[in-house]
Amino acid sequence: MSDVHASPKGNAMKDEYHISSLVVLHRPDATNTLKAFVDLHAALDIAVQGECRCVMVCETASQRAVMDHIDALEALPGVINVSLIYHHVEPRAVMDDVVQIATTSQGTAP
Amino acid sequence: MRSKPLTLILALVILVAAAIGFAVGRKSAPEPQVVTTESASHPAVASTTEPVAAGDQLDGIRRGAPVNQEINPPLMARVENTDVKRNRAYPMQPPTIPHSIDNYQIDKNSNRCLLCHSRANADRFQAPPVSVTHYMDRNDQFLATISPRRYFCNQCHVVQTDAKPLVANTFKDIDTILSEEQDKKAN
Amino acid sequence: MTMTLTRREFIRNSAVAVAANVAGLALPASATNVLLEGDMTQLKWSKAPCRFCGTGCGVNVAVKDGRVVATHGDQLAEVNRGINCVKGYFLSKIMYGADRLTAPLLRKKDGVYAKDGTFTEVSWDEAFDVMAAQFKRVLKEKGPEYVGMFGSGQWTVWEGYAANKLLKGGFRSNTLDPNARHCMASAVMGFMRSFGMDEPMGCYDDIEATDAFVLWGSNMAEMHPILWTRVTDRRLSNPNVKVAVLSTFEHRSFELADIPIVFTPQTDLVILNYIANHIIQTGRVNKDFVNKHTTFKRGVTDIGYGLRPDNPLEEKAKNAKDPTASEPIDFEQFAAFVKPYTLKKAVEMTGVEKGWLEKVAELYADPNTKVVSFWTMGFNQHTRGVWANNMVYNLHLLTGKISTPGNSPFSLTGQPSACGTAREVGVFSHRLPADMVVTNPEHRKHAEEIWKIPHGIIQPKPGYHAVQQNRMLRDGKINAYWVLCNNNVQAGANLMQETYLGYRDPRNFVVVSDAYPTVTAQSADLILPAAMWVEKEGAYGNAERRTQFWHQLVKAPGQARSDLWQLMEFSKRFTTDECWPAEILAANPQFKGKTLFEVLFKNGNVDKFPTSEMEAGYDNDEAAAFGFYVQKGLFEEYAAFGRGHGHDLAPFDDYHKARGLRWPVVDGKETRWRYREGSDPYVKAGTEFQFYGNPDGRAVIWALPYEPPAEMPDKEYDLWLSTGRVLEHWHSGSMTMRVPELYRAFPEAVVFMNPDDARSRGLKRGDEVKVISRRGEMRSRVETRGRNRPPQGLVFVPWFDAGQLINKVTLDATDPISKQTDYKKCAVKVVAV
Repeated sequence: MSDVHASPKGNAMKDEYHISSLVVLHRPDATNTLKAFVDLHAALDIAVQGECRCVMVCETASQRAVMDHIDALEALPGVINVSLIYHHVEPRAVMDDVVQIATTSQGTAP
Repeated sequence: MRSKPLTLILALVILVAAAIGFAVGRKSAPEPQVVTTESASHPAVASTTEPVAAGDQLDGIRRGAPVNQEINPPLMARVENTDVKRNRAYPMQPPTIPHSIDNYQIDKNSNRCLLCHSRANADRFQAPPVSVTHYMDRNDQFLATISPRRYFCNQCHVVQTDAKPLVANTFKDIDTILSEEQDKKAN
Repeated sequence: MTMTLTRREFIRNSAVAVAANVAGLALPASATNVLLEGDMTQLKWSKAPCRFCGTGCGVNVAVKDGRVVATHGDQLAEVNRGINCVKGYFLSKIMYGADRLTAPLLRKKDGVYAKDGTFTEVSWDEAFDVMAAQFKRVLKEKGPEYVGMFGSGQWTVWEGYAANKLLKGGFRSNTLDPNARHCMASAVMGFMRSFGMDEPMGCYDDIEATDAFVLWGSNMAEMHPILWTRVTDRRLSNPNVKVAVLSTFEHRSFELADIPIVFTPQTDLVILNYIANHIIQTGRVNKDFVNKHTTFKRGVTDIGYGLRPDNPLEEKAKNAKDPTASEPIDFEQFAAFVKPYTLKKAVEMTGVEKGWLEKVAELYADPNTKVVSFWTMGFNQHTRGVWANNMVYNLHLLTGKISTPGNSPFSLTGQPSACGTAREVGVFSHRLPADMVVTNPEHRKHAEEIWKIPHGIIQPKPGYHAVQQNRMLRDGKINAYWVLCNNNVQAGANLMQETYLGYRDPRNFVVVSDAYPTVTAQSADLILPAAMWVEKEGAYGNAERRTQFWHQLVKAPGQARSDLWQLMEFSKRFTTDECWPAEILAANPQFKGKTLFEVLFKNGNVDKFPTSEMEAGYDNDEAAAFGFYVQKGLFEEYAAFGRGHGHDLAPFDDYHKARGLRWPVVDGKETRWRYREGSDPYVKAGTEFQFYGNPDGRAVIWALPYEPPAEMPDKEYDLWLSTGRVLEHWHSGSMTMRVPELYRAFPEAVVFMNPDDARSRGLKRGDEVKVISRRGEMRSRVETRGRNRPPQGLVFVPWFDAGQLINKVTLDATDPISKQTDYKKCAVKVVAV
């Protein structure tokens, strides 16, 4: 996955994989701006979109890149605040390991 | 061909190491040694009016000693200093410190932990860098350096000694519960 | 059915689930372009306050298949904004110690209860049958004053309230005290004497607004870690902010200190009066504030040490009988009173360098420096603890540095609901809800009206306080005794000469309700298994007047039941005829033949709300058992005491939505700073400040001297002993010692000792020693390194370790006004084994 915001210098640990989630507070009319921004950046995904807030997932190769993305998001017009909620690092090598998960009959979340 | 004897030797080494660890380990089998209070030499110490039944020593932390008697304190536990990362029960649990921090200076002018664990130095010292969450201030703003609210590392991160818990804990993490569920369904 | 995910997808799911919870966004399957299936997203996250200290951090708790599987700091909680201390991060494990009590245990011999019997599993019916028979025997043969209860600042608000009703309105005994007596009583009496109303005027927001912090006998770095993160944040982000730390030994809070002060025990009183004198002598009294908003009083002196009356120290004390007496004085008399407390005298008595004393005095005196004073057990566990509280208020009142953002004398609390339950509900032997007292006939009448019970039921005489309860058990003056949600055999001072003898006295029947088999439980005759924390719906009130609710999230194990269920269910076994005087029943025949449950809990208030008013998706075992929304009924009846009287609580349902609200909550708005016009709705326009707890609206500045402690080191017992806590364990350790990570971080108590003191006794680190006082001895090991660095002549021993009961050694001297024990000062010797 390409990580356009990772600076070459800050990308010291090359075998790491960082998965973070962000809560972005924004004005209702900024939804399209955010969507366009996310489409441009492969590291970002909108997981849940509310009226004036959304949950984003951010996958990068370094911590520096997480913070660069947050800075860039905060600079967007209509964005009020970006909070980092969850941050997890693991070796990139285990990312494609398969885990089995039991699902209940309802299948999805309530 | 060569890998077989190597594996054997490795297994042996681990066994020996484990045996040594067991032998020198602190109170591997916690034998409570109850000492009777020398009430004669100490008039102020009261004794109870009744004998205490052995089966009634419920609090495991007292290692079997009745409330009104004294026990030999166990030898001081040693801080584990293996530098091996331990598993966490859930992602938000702060990692425990896998090395000794004796004589680490942490005050408002200097922080020995950050010497190795700060983002700038972590690579050089092969230490895990502090999480990016630690760069966020109380108002969710990102800072260039570690957030002052996270400055005193040992408010969340603690060492682990070789002491063996006196009471077991039956907490199950999410992975265990999920796999149990799966087993149940498989049957 | 199983599904396959990659590790990456699994982590993404976790990340999204946690963030969605914080954002308050649901996870509809259709609204997403990431994988959200799988059970990771089916964790149910709910809010709760932390189970431990009085800081009152918010946590999110994840539940899966009826078990707590994870916790983390609540981003939306104003107190901690997403972070926890190490104990808070391990909350998910506190309920899962392998030795949880799951059935009642009764001491039995030959199939029946016997004081010298062996603990045997019994049913709840048998447990309550035996217990009720014992309580009825004592009520009938001895009278209500022989029945007692020892409760808790860890009780939920409604548990404390139900206990208050059962004891004072049911059994007619005022012998109900909380373990909060050991930690907060001096603070309460300090507030009452200075302001006529309990609890801090300011709030935690003062931390981000102040210029200086002064810690008086408080090691916040270990005992209130999350508040310490806020103090650290303020100090390190603003280089001009100063931190002064005053203690009798060096500890972790000194790591941040600009002004480090280690003083001789008890001489904090000297420093306080020296600072008052310094403010006056340098002309920095805020005269306008003092003239408009304060009065002056001189308290009586030589008030004794709260020991047994036949103790020579008590016989000698002139005013031991009436330690609260006072006379009005004026500013000039006050100035003359503190004049002898010069810098020179302060240096001599405290052993502190002149420069440091001047610096800390200037923090208060300088009109341009905003000051927050924090204190905890160093002040409160003090034979002159009430005085110390009054004297620090003096400094804030003389300078007018009070009730404004950043100017705040702030008493911290050690228990999660010392304020919310013990103090506000009035679970003390002399109190009723909302700062009312049993000695006041109007207050009693008001309480009886709200409770809908006849006049004359509540007794006018205060019951036995905590320390007195142990003495009365030993003397056979309390014969039926119920201990809930505390570990007093490990906490109460002078275990061997008082507490233990009383518990094991054949005249007494002692019941202990707890989640774990503590040393208190094993000293009892009947043990009742208790539900804890999120196994029940609850409410706590933290140190800044913030009331916080949580839902029941999981079931208690086995037959464990909440204290609330236990108190209410037990009340069904008593009738008014067995508990109330015949003449009151004759005058109020409608109460005759009723059970205490009917008159106290089915009174039209408590049973007013049907179970249909409960929030869907949560269990409520008490509501299920009694058939009505018990918690809401108790809370709304209780709230009637304070609404309109400065203690206003919001409607019940609001608290399940909010991350806590700070009372008084008037017109839906919480109050951050009390007593100041504009921020407190009770202050009249044009008054600027109004200390409305006192009838004249003025706060009291107290002239009080230094007096020596009850016991000082001498030739034989040559060391001071101070006791306290450590970061990793909470109080007696009954929860944290059962969490492996916390246990292994600090597995046993040690004697922190100055290396020179060790050397002069031929001791080195790790050596086994006896700590011996005039009352008893305890075995431990010497620690000369680490987090606590005592000066020569003082040792510090933490009390979390049931394997090392330091309360065999401590002295049961108390503040004569607050009746709170001084756990910080007694004389011991340390000898090699």
